[in-house]
Formats: sequence, C-alpha cells, structure tokens
Amino acid sequence: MKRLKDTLNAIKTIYAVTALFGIMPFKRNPFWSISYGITPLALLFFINLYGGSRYLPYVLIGGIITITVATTISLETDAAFLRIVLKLQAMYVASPVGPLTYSLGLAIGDFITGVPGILIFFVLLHLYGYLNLVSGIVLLTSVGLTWALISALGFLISSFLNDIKDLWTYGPILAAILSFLPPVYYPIELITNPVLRMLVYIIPTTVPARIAQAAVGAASIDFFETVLMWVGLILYTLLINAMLVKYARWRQP
Amino acid sequence: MNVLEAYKVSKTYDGKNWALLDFTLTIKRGELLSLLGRNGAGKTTFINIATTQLRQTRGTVRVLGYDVIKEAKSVRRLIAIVPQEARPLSLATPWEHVYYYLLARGLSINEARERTARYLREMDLWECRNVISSKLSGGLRQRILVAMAIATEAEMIFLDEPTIGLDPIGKMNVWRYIGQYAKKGCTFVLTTQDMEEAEILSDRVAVMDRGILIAYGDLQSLKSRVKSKIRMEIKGNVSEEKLREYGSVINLTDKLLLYTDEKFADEVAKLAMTNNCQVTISPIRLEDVFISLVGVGPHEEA
Repeated sequence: MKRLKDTLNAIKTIYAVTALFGIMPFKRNPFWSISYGITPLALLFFINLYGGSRYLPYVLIGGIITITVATTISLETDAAFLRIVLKLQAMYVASPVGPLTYSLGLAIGDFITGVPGILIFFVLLHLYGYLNLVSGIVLLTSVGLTWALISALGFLISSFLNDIKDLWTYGPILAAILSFLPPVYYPIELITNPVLRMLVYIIPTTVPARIAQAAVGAASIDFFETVLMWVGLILYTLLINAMLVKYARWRQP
Repeated sequence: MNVLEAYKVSKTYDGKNWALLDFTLTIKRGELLSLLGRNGAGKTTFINIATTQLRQTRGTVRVLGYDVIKEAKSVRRLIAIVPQEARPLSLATPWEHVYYYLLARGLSINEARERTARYLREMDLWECRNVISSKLSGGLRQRILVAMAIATEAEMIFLDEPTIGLDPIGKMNVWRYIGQYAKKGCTFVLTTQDMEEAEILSDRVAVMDRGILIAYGDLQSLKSRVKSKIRMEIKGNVSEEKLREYGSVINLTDKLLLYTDEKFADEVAKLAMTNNCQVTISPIRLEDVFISLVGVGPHEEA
C-alpha cells in the first residue's frame, strides 16, 4: 500500500515538474517546436534533392532520432540554467523531490516540445508507405528508449556544469555527435572500415537508429543481431539512468 | 527546543581557503534568526549546508533533529528555501509557480489549490495571479519566490537575501510578509547585508565575517557589546583628531562617525555647530555593532 502511495506521489511530482517547466512555457511559446524540427526538415529537402528517394527512409528515421536527441540534450542546458541562473533547482533540492523525479519531469517537459516535429516525420513515414502497426510500435519503443537514455545523460552532464558560459557549449557538440556522426542519417554499410563500424556502436544513437531502419525495411538485420541490439539498448539505458541516480550532483560536494 | 544545531561546521572549496570555519550555532523553534555579514562572510555557504545542498568539509548540522548528511531526505521534507538571486520562470504565472511547486512537494490537488489561493491573496499576488512573471515588476517577481516558500508551511524556512535588488517599498512588503508568518510560529533563517532588515525582523542576529561567527545574540545583548551608546554623524569641517578625544571615530569620506557617551554628546554637538557642521545624533544601531565587531561597514572591504 505504501509502495503504491509512493509511486502515485512520484507520478504527481513528475507531472508537476513537467507542467511548470515544460507544458506552461510551451503553451506560451509553441514556436520552440519549430526550432527542433527545422534542421531535420531542411535535411529531408536537401538529401531528397541531391540523393533522390534512395535515402528517404534513412532521412525520415534520422529526423525522428535527431528531434528526440535535440529535445533530450536541451535538458542538459535547461537543467543547468534552472540551477545556475534561475537558482530554482535549489528550491527542489530543499524539498521532498528527488533527483530522478525532478529530471524525469524536466525530460518529459522538454520532450513535449519535440512531439509536433516527431509527429510530422511519423506522418511522412506513413505517407511514403514505411509505417505499419509493427514498425510503428518498434519505432515508438526505440524512440522512447533513446529519450530515456539521452535525457539521463543530459541531466548527469548538467549537474557537473558550474559556469553560465558552459551552458550552451556542450549541447550542440553532443547533438552533432549523436545525430550526424553515427549511421542515423545513412546506412552503416557506408562505413567501410570494420573497426570504425564496430566502434560506432558506442555512440548511443547507433542502435536505436539501426533498429528503426530495420523496422521500416531500410536495413537488413538478422534475428540474433536484432535481439543483441535490443538487449544492448535496454542495458545501456538502464546503465546511464543508474549512473544518474548514483553520480548526478543533487547535493554539491 | 533547538530546531537547528550546527557544531564546528567548516567548509573549504579549494582545500586552502575556508569559506566557513568552526561555525557553531543553535536556533530555537519559532525564532527568526538573521545571519549578518558582508559578501564572502559565509552566510550562503552555511545556508546551503543546512538545506542539504552542499556538503560540509567537517562538523555536523542537525535540522529539526535530523543530520543533514545522513538523514537528508528527512530534513528536506520539513524545510523550504528562497535561494539568493533566484528568479521565477519568465513564462509562468504566480499561480503556476506556487501551485505546481506545492504539488511537487506532495500536497494533494485540492490542498495545493486551496493553499495557492490563500497565500497569493495574503501576499497581494492575487490580482496578478495569471500574469506571466516576465510582465511583473522585480518586487512582485521576488514575492512569487517568497510565496512559493511560505506556502509550503514548512517548519523551517531559509531566506537567502530575499530583498536584494528591491526598492524600499518592495523590501518593506517582503518584510511585512515574513514578519507576519514568523508570528505564526514558523522558524526563519534569513541572510542579509541589510542592517535595517536584520534589525526590523530578527529575534536574534549572528554576525559573520570571513567564515567565522563573530557574535551571536539578541539585538540588545549585541548592542551592549559596544561601549559607546551614542552615534553622531558629523558633516563638515571639523578636526578628526579633536573628535577622537570624545570616542572612536570612523572617517566615511563625506562625514565622520563618532561613537561616544551621552555625557559628551552636548559638547560635541556644540563643537560641530561652532564649525558650521551638520550633526545627527541617534542611539547605537545594529550597523554600529557590526562596524565595531568587524572593523568596517557592511558594504566595505577591510
């Protein structure tokens, strides 16, 4: 009974943080969602223009992953801004709210801004015939795990930032590394070096991108590799979230 | 009953310089304590340690019976803070700030709604409850943060320079609310550089400088530490050397500050007026206690 009550309280806390830091600002400035979608849409236009429809499924998957990454990496900036500039995190530290519920609330709040852009790419996938029930569920699951992994990473990094000028330094670098370096927008086969092709799996967005590409038929992965990637993605997500709970600086040293 | 017990609390950020050194303090339930000191005195460092935001290097702090390190979760349930230089979200309204904060802290929806309405009314924020904070004045924005903390009805509320940057009317409004809630039995810890604020609000004052607790007690006992009982401000052309015959003198560039006894006050006043000087006489204030303890004014460097 107590555990149920604690869970309900945690959900209420997450909702309250999401509402104040995510829903209310987004309600008053929905144009933020355009800023997350504009680069992937521009890439869609240019890659289609120069490459034709050959890379279309990769660009559409890439768009979904990029927007997910952008909204979750922005958590790094937003969390640090709330802590360093507005000093509001201190009010939550000195309260019953814990770091996990607080970071989840912020992460959901940030993700809401990316939903319109992600929906556009889902609609495009459907219009181009890449989406069915199974591929849709697989895509949503891999996007969900990407969100859980990258947002935990973003909050963990933010807790170590101490200077205002650092706020906007690491976000764009991480977004570029996570979105454009690994095979998110292109097939992994274009990486001809076998060592690099293995190393690229260290980047957290490689696996969800490969899973999503396979779900829409753009990539071919055997059953064993599919299971390995799912297990790897889930373990990676759990590991980063465990690191968040253990190492994120809720109390400064 | 002591609601805060700090024993030899020390903190260094770089292993060499001590932001706080052997700080020992107790606070009783229901009192309003001001931590008074210049920039760098260690006030915010102590507040951050007591509110479980910062780990001390050594020493112990117990808040409401719980150790701030080992029993942090228990402490956090019972306290609230308005951090120094905190600002509300520009795109959220006073209602949203208070309501969602109370909800996050575990209140039910109905309780949070009722309390938000009550405290916004009491703190004169009701009229602007649905106006986003970027459209409000600095004083109103600061009041949002104080409302967030006070609405928690926490047993202990820490206010870190809550009136910094406010105009005199804004300050007085915040003092009014703090004074009001202090009378209801909540324990407040306030940090400030503003002597008037400390004098108006506090039951007791702890004077800090360079991380050390210099003096601690109620206003009367602190004032009794200063030998002289009269403060005289003299503006004009009068010899500082001559004034030193009557007590201690501080040269504030545009005026001289003389601390002396009542028996000399008439003589000094006559001397000053003979030299066509402007004279102001008043009893010793908290600022004077601070100057006598620390050696310089609250906004000056040594």
